[in-house]
Amino acid sequence: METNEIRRVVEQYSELLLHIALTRTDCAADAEDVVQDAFLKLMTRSPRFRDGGHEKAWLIRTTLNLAHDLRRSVSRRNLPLEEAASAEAGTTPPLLSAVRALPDKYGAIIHLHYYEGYTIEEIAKLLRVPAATVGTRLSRGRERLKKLLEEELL
Amino acid sequence: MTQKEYRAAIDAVRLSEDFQERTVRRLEQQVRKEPPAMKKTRTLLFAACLAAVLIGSVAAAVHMLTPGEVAAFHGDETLSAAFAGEDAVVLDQTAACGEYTFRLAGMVSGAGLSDFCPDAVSDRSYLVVSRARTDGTPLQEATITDYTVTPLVAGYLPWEVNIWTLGGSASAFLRDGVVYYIYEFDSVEMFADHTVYLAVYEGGSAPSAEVLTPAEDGSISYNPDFTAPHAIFEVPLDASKADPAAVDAFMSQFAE
Repeated sequence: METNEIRRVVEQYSELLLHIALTRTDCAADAEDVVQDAFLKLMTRSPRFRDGGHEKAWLIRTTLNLAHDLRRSVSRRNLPLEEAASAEAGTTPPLLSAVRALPDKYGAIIHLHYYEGYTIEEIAKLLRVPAATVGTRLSRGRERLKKLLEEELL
Repeated sequence: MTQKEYRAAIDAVRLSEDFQERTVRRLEQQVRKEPPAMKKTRTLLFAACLAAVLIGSVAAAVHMLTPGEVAAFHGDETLSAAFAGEDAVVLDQTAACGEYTFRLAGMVSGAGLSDFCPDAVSDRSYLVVSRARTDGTPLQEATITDYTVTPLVAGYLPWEVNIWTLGGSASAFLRDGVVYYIYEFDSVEMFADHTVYLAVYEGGSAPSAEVLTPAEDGSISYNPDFTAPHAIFEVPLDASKADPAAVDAFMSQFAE
């Protein structure tokens, strides 16, 4: 991958991927590591895509997979998550904490809809999940989020 | 929760201001590390190809990745495992197409077979194809749009059943001078009681009457006037996996 291409990809997708990774990792530093690894994977694997939409979808799915792997590895090593997130301790908005507590299948869809403004059909295409499933998960994710936030306030 | 509240919660987290610069630097460092190794590989490959030409077989010089290895290299361990399963179809057919030799390596179909769409409930087919120069000269770049690779089904019009209408996508990478592709589309196993083809032709246009001709018996061949490089494979499928109801549902989109 040429330097210009590296710069284009990083400038074009960093913000989108960092925000997604933030919701699926436990702190900003982990999110940054995950997104760097996703770019590195893109560079070393050098997949080629039919269009920009496919490239974006590949990067989103890779970021989500890497975030999932990171969380699983942290959990397997039995490290206290609070320690990993110490830099953010006390500063994380309750809403973000609640989104992070959602299972992956709800968290990513909630984020893509509420932050990026994607429609259900667009999310279905990005994540390769049927639109009806995305709709159901969005609805269930909202319910769970509401419950988590209510518990937080109690 | 409103969109505004959600965005505010995410935007409240401070990310490194120099993230993009740091990332570009790290990736550039990686690129700088790569060239000597790549150069060495190319040199070795050239020597290997030269030796192979001398003994009359270029293909023997380069280890062709198996479908499972292609999926693993692409970072998709689930798909890699699926290619090792008993439902995978090992094809290993080759055809010359212009200056290239295309190899149809293998195909597997099912739901949830990819790490990139673990939640997919509908069946998808994953097909591994490779492209190498017939004269053994290593390819230097993985390109997708200069050739079309599409499934077709006997008895159905090529412009109605093809990789576009089946929601297909493709990704590719270059390894040892060979380009490996993973094509993914809605499962063609529903058509398993018909002849399923894989057409390969130069250019990125969707199948049309200028390219392909369906015969009265349903078989599909290239239009004799289509002069660009082309090839066609037949994909052997287990006819018992045919699903006429799914085919009817799929074809209903073309009904008036």
